[in-house]
Amino acid sequence: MSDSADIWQDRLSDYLDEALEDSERSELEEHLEGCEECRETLVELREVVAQARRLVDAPPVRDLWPGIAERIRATEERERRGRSFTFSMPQLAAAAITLVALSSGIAWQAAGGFSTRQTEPAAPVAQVPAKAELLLASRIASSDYESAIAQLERVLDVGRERLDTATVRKVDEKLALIDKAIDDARQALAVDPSSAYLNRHLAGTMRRKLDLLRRTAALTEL
Amino acid sequence: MNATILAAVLSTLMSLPQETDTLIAVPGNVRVTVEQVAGDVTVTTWSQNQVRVLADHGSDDTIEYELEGNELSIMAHSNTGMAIVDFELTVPVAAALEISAPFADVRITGTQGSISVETVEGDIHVEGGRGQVDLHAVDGDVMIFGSEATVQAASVDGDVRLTDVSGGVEAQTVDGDVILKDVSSDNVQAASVDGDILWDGDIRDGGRYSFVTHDGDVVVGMQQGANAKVSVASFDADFEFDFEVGLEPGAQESKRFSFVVGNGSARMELESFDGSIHLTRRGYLEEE
Amino acid sequence: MPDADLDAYDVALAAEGDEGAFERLYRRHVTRIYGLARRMAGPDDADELTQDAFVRAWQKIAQFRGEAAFGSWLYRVAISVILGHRRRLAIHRERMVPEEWSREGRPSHERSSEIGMDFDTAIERLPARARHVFVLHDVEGYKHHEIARMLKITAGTSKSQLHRARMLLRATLA
Repeated sequence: MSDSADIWQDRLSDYLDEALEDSERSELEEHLEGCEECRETLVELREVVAQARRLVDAPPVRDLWPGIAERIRATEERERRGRSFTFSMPQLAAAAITLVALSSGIAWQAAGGFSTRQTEPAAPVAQVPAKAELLLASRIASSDYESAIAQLERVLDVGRERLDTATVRKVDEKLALIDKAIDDARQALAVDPSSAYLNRHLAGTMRRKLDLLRRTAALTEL
Repeated sequence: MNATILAAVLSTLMSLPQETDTLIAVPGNVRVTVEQVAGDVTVTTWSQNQVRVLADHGSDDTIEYELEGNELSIMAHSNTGMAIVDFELTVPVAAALEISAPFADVRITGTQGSISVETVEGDIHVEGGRGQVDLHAVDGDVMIFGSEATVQAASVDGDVRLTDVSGGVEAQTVDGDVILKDVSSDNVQAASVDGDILWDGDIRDGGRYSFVTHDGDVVVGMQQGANAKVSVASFDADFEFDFEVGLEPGAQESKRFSFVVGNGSARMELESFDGSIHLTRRGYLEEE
Repeated sequence: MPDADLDAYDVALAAEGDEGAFERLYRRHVTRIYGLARRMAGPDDADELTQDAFVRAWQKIAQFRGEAAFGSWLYRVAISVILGHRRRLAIHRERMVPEEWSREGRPSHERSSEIGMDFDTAIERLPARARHVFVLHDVEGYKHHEIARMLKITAGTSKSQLHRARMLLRATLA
């Protein structure tokens, strides 16, 4: 195809859509009178547009409602559990550090000196919190976590439109998994509140949730 | 070494699928960063001080290269939406790699430098690596073979598999398994929420090992002559012992107990909230 | 139109959490949304994207103020979901390559199996950007400046992509 034919051809769609200026339009119409190829192309383009307008929507083969209903209910469930706090980043970081220190402390007491994360004891035995303090400490830490988690969930709600929907779905599924583990741990703690393992396990599982939310929030920046 | 900034922009205005093949001279300790959105990334090595980039891409995709000192950045852009580029890189053996490819399978073989890979939907497969190796996937499996590096490997909805690894290990996933085969590190932390932790490695004297899951199983294959103090904790797990460990009466019923193997040198924590904890002999994963 | 009134009624209920009302909205609008998803993103992803669109609509329904018809609003939500959908596409997937078509725009003999290709299939095979613009303009009736805003491109690019799509599609007309 010669270059000059391209110039005209490129304008045919705009011509069809009546998007050309008067002067351009009359130029093109003049060209069309002498160019069979362009005339043919124009006819074909019209036919494409006509076909597009004739397209009929076909419904999905399977009923998609049950899947939608399930996800709506999961969304409602999560919203019911949500709370709103405002925490600054340093506070969030502090909350996480507190909990790590606490869970190391708990581990230290429970296993008589064995500390998972450090090569030395987390604290001398004398400074390990007494049982009552342990309970209070774990409750405080737990609510710190909940605040941090709620904060991140809000960040995610804003940013989730920027994520691929499949990723959002995946992350939501895994968050639900972790939530169930958190519920299990909480229920077990209700029966045995002074258990070092259960406190540690709850803290650890909440930390997993925090990590996942953080990573997903970072993904929204991608 | 010159601080050259070489920016070679290869853009295509033709509507054709296209393969570009580029050679870039680099220092032996180059740090190669790859940034793209979709398409696979495969990295192999050679003994030359060059990086070869074979890129398989479509119309309207642009590949940009920038070399500054010993940092080579490779970026894929699209003028019309999402760049889908398959990269095949050949790099110097000592090259460090940093790859950010949300929708890609990444495969790295033979490099002896640090490695950092981030994917969202895609598997990560690494052989080699030295120094620090960080592998993060969301919806993909993470696999590393044959490395002395310190490894941080995480997935959310995939498995994490480490084989023949001897540096420190931190491995976690949410809904997948952590499989540690022929791992001889002295510091291993492995965690899952709904998946299993499978250990079939060599427990080193003085080492620290932590295997934690919520709903999954912890299976530990212990080698002959292992020395470890093992602490077991659970809410309601089942226990299975393929050899005698001298438990106190009532220990299993308490769901939390500890025991000593050999001289108790290493420290091992096995935790499963509601799954099962199984102690067996080294080599049980050989059948895989 | 009676349908718009029904919609308004069900939207008010759904905004209060009435799932049954939302299901009625779903039943009335799913075919259109599914058709859009299928044409924009292909049959493999259409089911999931349709569900995603309705779930997103549920989450945002409290923000729908009724200044436009629910159907149009739902449509916008669906488009946003479909465009935000980044799937890893196999680079080997067949694409319409102009060079393989002969001068007159008819397919060459090696591709004779594609003469008379189903129009829907031909749309699916278009390169992504051209396909999006074509569907939004010629099938759904949006204007170039609206499309430009949705796809974050210029109106000029929208026009040229539309032309490109139409030129590629004409070869499939028997």
